[in-house]
Amino acid sequence: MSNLLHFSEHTLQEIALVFMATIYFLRVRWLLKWTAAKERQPATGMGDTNPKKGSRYSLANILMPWVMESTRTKPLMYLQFVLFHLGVVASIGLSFIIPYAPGLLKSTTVQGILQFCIGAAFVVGIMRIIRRVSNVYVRAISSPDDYFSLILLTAWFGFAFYSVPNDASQGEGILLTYFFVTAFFLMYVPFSKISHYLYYPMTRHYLGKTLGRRGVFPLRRSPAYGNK
Amino acid sequence: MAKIEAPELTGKIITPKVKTGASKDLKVFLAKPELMTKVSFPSEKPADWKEKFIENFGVILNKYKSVRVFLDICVRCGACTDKCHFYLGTGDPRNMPVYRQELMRTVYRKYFTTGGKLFGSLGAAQEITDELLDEWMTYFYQCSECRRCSVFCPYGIDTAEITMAARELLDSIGMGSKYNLEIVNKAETLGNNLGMPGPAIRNTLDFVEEDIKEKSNVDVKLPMDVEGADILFVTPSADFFASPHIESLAGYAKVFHQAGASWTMSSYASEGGNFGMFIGNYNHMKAINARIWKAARELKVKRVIVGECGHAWRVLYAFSNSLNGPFDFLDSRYRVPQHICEYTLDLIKRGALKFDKTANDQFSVTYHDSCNVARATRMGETPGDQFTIPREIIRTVCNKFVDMDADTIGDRTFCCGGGGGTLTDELIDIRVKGAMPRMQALKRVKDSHNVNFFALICAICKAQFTKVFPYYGIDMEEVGGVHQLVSNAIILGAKEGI
Ligand code: SF4
Ligand code: SF4
Ligand code: SF4
Repeated sequence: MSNLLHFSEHTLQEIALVFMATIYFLRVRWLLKWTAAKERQPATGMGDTNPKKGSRYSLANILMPWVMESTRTKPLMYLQFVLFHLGVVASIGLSFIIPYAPGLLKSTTVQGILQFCIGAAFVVGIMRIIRRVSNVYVRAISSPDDYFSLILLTAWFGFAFYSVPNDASQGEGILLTYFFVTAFFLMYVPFSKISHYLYYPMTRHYLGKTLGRRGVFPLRRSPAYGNK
Repeated sequence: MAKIEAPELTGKIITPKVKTGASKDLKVFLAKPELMTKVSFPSEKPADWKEKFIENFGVILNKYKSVRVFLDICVRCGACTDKCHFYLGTGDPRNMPVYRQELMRTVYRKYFTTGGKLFGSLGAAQEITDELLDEWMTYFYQCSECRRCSVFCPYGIDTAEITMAARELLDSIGMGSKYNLEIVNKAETLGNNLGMPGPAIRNTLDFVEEDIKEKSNVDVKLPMDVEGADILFVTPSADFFASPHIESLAGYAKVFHQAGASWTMSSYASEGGNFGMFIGNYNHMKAINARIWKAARELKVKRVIVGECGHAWRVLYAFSNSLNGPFDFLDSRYRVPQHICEYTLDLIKRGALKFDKTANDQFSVTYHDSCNVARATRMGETPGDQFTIPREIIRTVCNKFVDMDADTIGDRTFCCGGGGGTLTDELIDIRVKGAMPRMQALKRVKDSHNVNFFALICAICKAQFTKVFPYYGIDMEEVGGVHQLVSNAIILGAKEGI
């Protein structure tokens, strides 16, 4: 292994991680500074809902495509969402496995699982790029960051896919690119739209807590209106 | 003004091609300096408006955490692009909810995010300029705060809240909407949006009493300012005014009469509506709302019931407690406040009201869920009761009822196109176009079930539809209230009290 590759797998990642952790720490501290206002609405509902249940339900919402309008009506979009985010998890995991637990990659099953997740995410990434460029509606609302983040993320999946075997015998180019892009991401993410996942748990928690108290979450209605 | 072309009624809601700038000329009139001063806003744009704007933006971001989160969290997934009736009606991309939000988001990035400060327009950040302000004034008044987009957004981003914040910000630098601020001023000084003095309201109530007496030979009273009554009834002032509102007023009165209820209206709090919400201003919303609770205290009532008005119910149900609560002087056995539909259905279920359904046999009825009731509040005990309760009432009093297509009712209901402070003549063009999705859904049930009565529980919906129906070749007489149907069918005198 060359010094550059060793640097990119270890020192560079560590610097990037510390940078990201610092920014996130500041962000989380900022987020926690917002204490929720006192709820003045009396608790309502049938008594089988409460803030805790509401929060749990709201956080689990992401796993229940049938309760959200946007996913209920578009199951394929939901599938894309799942594959894309599994790919993100696998690609990030890989950046820890290669330097710290490379032995895991000796197993062809582990390799297969990682490559499946990352490969599927790559395909979804390509589909999303095509949609962003070709769909007039999505194009109309896209900012430079939307294109940049998506294209870079998809390319990153590509490099991650070929890095899974962790084999530098044919040259270190792919691995080097993968680690440099990973480091770039760790530093860029807090400033881009990708940071949305940081807010997601917070907003879901507060929404669930409020709607739990107000007797709305967990939802348990099947619409009793409309024509039969 | 150019002739207004209503979209063709085909029964289909088709997402239009993007037509940049299609509705850029449809603007609200700016409030004059005297009016701005009356409602405690700067009379006009000050010389240092930019500094003020940024400062006030910071205040709003600190005050409304939700707005900040909404500005940060959107991933431009596109799920909301074709969900706004104003986009569907005009094709102007600025009416795509996310693109409407971008008007504020780009400025937010510029002054409040590191990325925006560092990368400028590359990071989709934009400085606030006179031209951009003009766009804000145009497109934030082309949003009816109906929240339909939020139902389809995976994050639940509520464009209505962003619109309210934008309007508040515009007001704070001396740019207000004449229509909305005139109404706020009237409600705060005269007690109702129409500026009707107490004697004029009493006159209307006398007229309704006489009318009922003439038609049914029963003395139904519409009391006002009765101290010690059990119920304070608050309804939009439009109900005191003209068709198709006044017919519902007769309906409420008959229900109270038949229940043997002790009730009153108030000349001081003669307005259920609250345009303070439309302009997103907490202080005005609070001041208008306070009149109702002051009247409730002074009249020593035990409960408060609200008439047919979407946004009145939204403010009274969702914000009252925070604005002017607690209401521990009221009888805790009743929900505070209560909707007239909850009250009527409860009486029906307890057998206190009798109906002759055939009185409505000339009507084939459909029901439009008002978005404020559908997506910003609730009714009854279980989630979704705000959809079932009005329908149960209609089914009880009519023989012929049919719902419009499932994706145009319930929590996915389309706005009428005139809510959220857009019900003004200078916006008639966009109001007609914004009504398009609802009109197409109506067309389908008209074709399949000969629907000729469009039942509503919102004063603004009623005003909007009576105005836009003729543009689509439909008779405005087909618009009516749920309690108008109740009024037609209720049998008076068969049972007094419960
Ligand atoms: S709140 Fe309603 S009017 Fe406003 S952008 Fe969303 S869908 Fe359109
Ligand atoms: S649906 Fe929500 S996240 Fe997606 S573009 Fe619209 S506002 Fe943004
Ligand atoms: S007028 Fe009716 S449909 Fe229109 S915004 Fe208000 S409640 Fe919604």
